[in-house]
Amino acid sequence: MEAVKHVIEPQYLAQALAQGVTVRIGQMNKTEHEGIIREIGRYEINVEEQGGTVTILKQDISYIHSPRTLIQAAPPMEQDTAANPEHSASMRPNVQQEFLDKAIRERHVLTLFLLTGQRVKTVIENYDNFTLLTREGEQQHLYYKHGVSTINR
Amino acid sequence: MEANLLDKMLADYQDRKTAVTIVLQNRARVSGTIRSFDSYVIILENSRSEIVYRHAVSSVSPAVSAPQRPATRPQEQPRQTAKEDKRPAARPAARPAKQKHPKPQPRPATPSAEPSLNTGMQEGLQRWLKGQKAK
Repeated sequence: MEAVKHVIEPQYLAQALAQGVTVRIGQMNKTEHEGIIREIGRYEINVEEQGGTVTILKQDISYIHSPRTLIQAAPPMEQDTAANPEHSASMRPNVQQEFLDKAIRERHVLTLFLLTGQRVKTVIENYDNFTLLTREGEQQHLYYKHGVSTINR
Repeated sequence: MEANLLDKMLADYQDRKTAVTIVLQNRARVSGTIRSFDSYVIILENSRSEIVYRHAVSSVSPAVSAPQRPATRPQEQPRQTAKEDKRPAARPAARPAKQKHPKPQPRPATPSAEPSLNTGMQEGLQRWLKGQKAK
């Protein structure tokens, strides 16, 4: 398995923690939390709402919305795509990676269908093994892949 | 990054005997004090004792914050209802066609049996069909 070049999710969360941004967290059951991230664990995060601290399990998070940009856009991975053919010759093609890389390179507007039934039209900026990073003007949203059912062009 | 933040929080709540509210993935809430926990389950104590599987947990918070949760709801409500309003609008349109059948059902019989995507696609398809008929 080829290592994905960037780890987006920990970086996003760490930035949100460091900058004290008020984030909106949508869960799989369509409830939302709004608060400041206080602690980050491997499988859960602590969020401070008005009422107190809530521990939210990542497995049940669908998306995290940040009102400002947390991660600067990575430079386009030209050399990566150049290296890809050699890789795919030796191993099975990674369909998802190819799809996402292409979408990022060509700035496709994609429609994400979430497990909650919501559909989100957006441009993908980056991704890692578990998440997709999208942009909405100044805002940056993180979608967990486990909350996505399909992605359409 | 904490390796096991939930364990830490649970131990903390357990030591302080804090009343907690655990929201499950099906939106059910269970509250009580934590008697004990391991890596798979949490034993809660309220009027009786309950075992909660950790794989079903959505979030854990001190019980004091529970009444405040509805305060955050109204913000999400307008957006959510805007989305959900579309569905009832699509359904009545689909219903007249179904009334030819002997038993018109108020809702698709197995909404929960199907993955939510399928219902989403069905609705989309019905809306599209309706649009086509309008033309």
